[in-house]
Amino acid sequence: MGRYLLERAAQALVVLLVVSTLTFVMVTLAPGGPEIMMTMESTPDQREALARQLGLDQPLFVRYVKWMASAVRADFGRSFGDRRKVNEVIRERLPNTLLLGGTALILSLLVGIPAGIISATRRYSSTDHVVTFFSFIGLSIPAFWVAILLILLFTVRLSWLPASGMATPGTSFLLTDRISHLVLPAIVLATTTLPNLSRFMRSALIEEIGQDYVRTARAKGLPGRQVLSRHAIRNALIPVVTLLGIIVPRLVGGAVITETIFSWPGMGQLAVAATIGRDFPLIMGLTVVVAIVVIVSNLLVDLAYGWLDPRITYT
Amino acid sequence: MTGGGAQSIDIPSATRAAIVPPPPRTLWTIAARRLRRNAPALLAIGFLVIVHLFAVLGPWLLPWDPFAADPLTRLTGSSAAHPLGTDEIGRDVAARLILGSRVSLGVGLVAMIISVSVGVAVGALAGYFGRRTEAVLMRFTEAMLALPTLFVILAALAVFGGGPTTSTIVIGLTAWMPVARVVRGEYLRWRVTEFVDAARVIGSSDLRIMLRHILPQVSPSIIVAATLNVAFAILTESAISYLGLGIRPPLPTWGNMLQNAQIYIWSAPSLAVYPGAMILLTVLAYNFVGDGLRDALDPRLKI
Amino acid sequence: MRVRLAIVLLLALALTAGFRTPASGGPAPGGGLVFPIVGDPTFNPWHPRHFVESIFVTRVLFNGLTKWGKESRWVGDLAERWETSPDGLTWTFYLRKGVKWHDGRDFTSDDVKFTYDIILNPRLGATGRAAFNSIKEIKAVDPNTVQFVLSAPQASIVAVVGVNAGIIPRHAFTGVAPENYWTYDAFNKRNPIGTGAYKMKEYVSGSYVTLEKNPNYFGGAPSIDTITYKILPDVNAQIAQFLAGDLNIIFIDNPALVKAVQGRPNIKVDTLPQNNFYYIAPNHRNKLFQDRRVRQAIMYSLDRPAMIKGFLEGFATPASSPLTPVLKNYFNPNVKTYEFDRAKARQLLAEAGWQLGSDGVLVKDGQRFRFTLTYPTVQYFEPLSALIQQYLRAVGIETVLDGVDFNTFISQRYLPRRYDATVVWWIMPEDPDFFNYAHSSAADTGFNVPMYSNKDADALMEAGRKAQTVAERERIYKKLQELMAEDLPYLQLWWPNEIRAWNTRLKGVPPIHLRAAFQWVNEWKLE
Repeated sequence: MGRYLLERAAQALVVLLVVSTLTFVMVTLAPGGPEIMMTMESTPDQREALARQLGLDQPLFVRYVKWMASAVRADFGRSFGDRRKVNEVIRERLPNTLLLGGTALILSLLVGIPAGIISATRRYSSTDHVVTFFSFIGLSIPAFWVAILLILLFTVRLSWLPASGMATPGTSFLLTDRISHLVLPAIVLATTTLPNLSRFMRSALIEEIGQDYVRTARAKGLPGRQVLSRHAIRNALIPVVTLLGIIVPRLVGGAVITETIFSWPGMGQLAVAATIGRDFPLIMGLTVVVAIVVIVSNLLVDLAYGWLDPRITYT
Repeated sequence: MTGGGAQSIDIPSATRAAIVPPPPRTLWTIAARRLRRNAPALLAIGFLVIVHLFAVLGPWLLPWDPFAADPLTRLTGSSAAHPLGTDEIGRDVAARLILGSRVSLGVGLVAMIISVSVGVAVGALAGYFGRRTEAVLMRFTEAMLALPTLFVILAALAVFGGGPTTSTIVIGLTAWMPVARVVRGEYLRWRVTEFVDAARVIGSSDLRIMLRHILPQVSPSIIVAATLNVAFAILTESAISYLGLGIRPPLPTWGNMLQNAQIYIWSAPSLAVYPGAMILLTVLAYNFVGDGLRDALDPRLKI
Repeated sequence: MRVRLAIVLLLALALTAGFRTPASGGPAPGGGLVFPIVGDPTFNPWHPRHFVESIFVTRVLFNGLTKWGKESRWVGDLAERWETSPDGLTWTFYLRKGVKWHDGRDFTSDDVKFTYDIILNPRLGATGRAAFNSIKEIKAVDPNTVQFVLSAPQASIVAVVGVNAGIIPRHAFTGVAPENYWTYDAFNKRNPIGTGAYKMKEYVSGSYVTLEKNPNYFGGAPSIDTITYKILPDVNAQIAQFLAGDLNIIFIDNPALVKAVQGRPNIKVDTLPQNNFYYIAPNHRNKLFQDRRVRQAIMYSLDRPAMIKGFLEGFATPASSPLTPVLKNYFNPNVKTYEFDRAKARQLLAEAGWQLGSDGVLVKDGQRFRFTLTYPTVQYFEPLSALIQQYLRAVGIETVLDGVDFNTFISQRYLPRRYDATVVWWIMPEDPDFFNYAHSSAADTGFNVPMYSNKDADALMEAGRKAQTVAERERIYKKLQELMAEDLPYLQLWWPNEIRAWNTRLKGVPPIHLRAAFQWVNEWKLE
């Protein structure tokens, strides 16, 4: 086990290196420049001065080496926009994204997995059809459309829930206030992941139920419930666990539209602004952080595999 | 009814049934039969056929010009001249919807084919061979997952120019990773089963085992993944348009029609309803079909 | 079991959500202005990242030497009065006495010198430099007097020092080297110190900025207690919050949204003209556009009233010149105008030697009349360009549309001047000085987007800068407008109105554009 973890750590470093280099190259290939230089009213000497301040007058290779040298010390430099330290900005935003993503994930699990189980066990019943239908709807609706509908209903019409930010400006920490701000964005974000979870759980469990060992167990007289929970569900969780490994990084880096509409100060919103503004240090910093989250969650997924299915070994 | 040679003797039907071989039962005839009993899937297939037909033939069959703008007749509701009304500069919504279906469907299908092909290849190789191969391939998958999609798209558009082709390839190349992970997980499971051991014992090559033995077991998951990917591709295209990248007007896609309609939800919500409904219904239909196919193709189910 | 847990959790959420506490979203009772901005602001008017969201904040935190007044003329802000030397090269500003910074220190001319030295420092790249090009040197003559020495006369200096030109304190930057001014977060991102009507209270990155009133403000203590700028990048979310009462004043960028707020009992929608114009800029270095008749033909081929009705819900006026009626006596209402007249357009094109080809596209000397129309994919430029393409096709001109995102537009089209024609806009300070926008010296590196070069126009613009009296300036600029209406450096489309909406509880917003109105925020009242 220890050896395995060490191997994975070494691989992680290689991945990080590849990811950061690829992103660096792509970001410099993209047309345009830092938005502070790209304004209609800028003058040539202004752009020159800014280029020098941002280090853009140096050759690509030098800039790459400089970035790498400070990145290994976990220093991602200063944003090309408002010139704040990238570390500071990410440190501010990451917990917000984790909060939103975490809530959406828990919501998805709490609703999605039971829904998938019910769907699978009552296959082709009307319950199954209803659950499947809603899953599909959830999969098919563009996030921003759901968001606007919910805002129109719950904020404008009913005045029940706030539609932006994490808390009411000017108030000190109040749990109910925080939760009320979390509800709408979490629901919108969950609609992108809940249906997947429910469907995958359903299809995986259906497969398991069709397996010989399940039929054997039932024939031997074991109660259906027990067969389900001890064996079938456990095995069916494997492909579902796979899905988690994909959902988590998506939640971290990709809740862009949700964060933008609800003005949730997270990393997704930051990533869009950084892309539009060609803010290279910020883009690079975000990429590395997301990469680390992906690597860690993939590792956890693989370890979970081994725990769930004793037949799987890493040989 | 009988597949045999010419009959010149008159045999009663009961006897005939006893001596005549039943029709051949391949995986596909079984699947077709099962599918026929799945009402939602059949509805969905019918819907998709209609939508695709419109997409292919529409621009010739129907008289409206999707690019003719007239600011004085903007945002009008349904009328004789414009069955679905006009958009923000007076272009016919129905015409744009049909032309847009071409683009959106094209992007969705081709991107899905790309992503599934790459994903299955990577996942199968990784899951089956394990060790070094798996390590390299899965780390590569991780690396791709960690790449911010926005930048991949921006950079690709920078180097190759914008438009439908680039967008499709880029969406396809950013959607294969989940497929690879799932397929790899499945191959990992199936590699250690008895029947694979048996196949090895009788001397089947690795390729044969991967394709002929394991792949059918995995195919339900792949089909589910494939239909989800069409959904993902169409939704990604709309998300890209929302952010102002991808395929630009005046060439319509459901995604960029939805984006343009955002501002008008207060004054003309139908502008967003139509493309949104097309995305919803099409994706829904693909999912029902995929689900139906999954059940139909499951080799372990009895009729 | 898990399902039950989920149901309980959801019920609990629903219960707490129903308890909408008074503070959860609504503006603070008794007086809190809440206004949306689209991004995180930077609290330094000279910082390179000082964009529109920052303008609304810095115009309240800081004061310039002058500001745009309620009666639509330039009035003193930190300066009480000013005069210019006979040769027009030295301007003297007499500063207000007794002004204090938010931290209690005294404001002096030294702060003005500090601020303008930053602008003039070529190594810093302060924003808005271009407007101050002719300032050579600043002298702090005595604690209440500054002098600007110019390299060439520029009558519009009074306007220039009043637009986004807030004075910042020297003492806040002691110990900070100039090259670190833009990375000095303590001032730029946390605790700015200004002379304005409100001072910094709280800033939560990504969420909001709250300012509280400065009771010692030299212009009179404000009535409203706090101003909160909520960071809302999505414009539909802004409307939703405004309708829900969480915002009490908004700026409506896109006229399509007016329908959402119009007709509600407690909302007032206000519109007024501003000093902007939207235009097509043909590249005058391109042979296609060098014949004046061609440019005029293009103007005749566009149905601008229909386009205004179409895109702007009527909230604009077809432009007869790049200079707008906001400029009052400098504006010339009697210049050549271009009504929608396809026949005239075709006639002019024929006179210019263009013949209609077999496929409906004009041809001359074997060359088709075909050009690329470049535009940034922001606002309504996309459908606008598609419509322009259609209008031009009707008179035989073929256009290829080239829409790119704003950043690419600036870096790859606008700055290297790589366009046949472009559709874009200018927002200008309220002064007729059009030098930077149309003088031949500003063609390659200035704001002369159409690359226009006309000796007569040049002479007029130079004279306008040198002129000593208002009457003379009026005469010169009226003549310039006559010339521009005939010769068409820009193909001016329209002057858009500014649209803003506020809750009827809000009173006292002056009838000037919102950025300038915020400089009078100490006079606003919330009932």
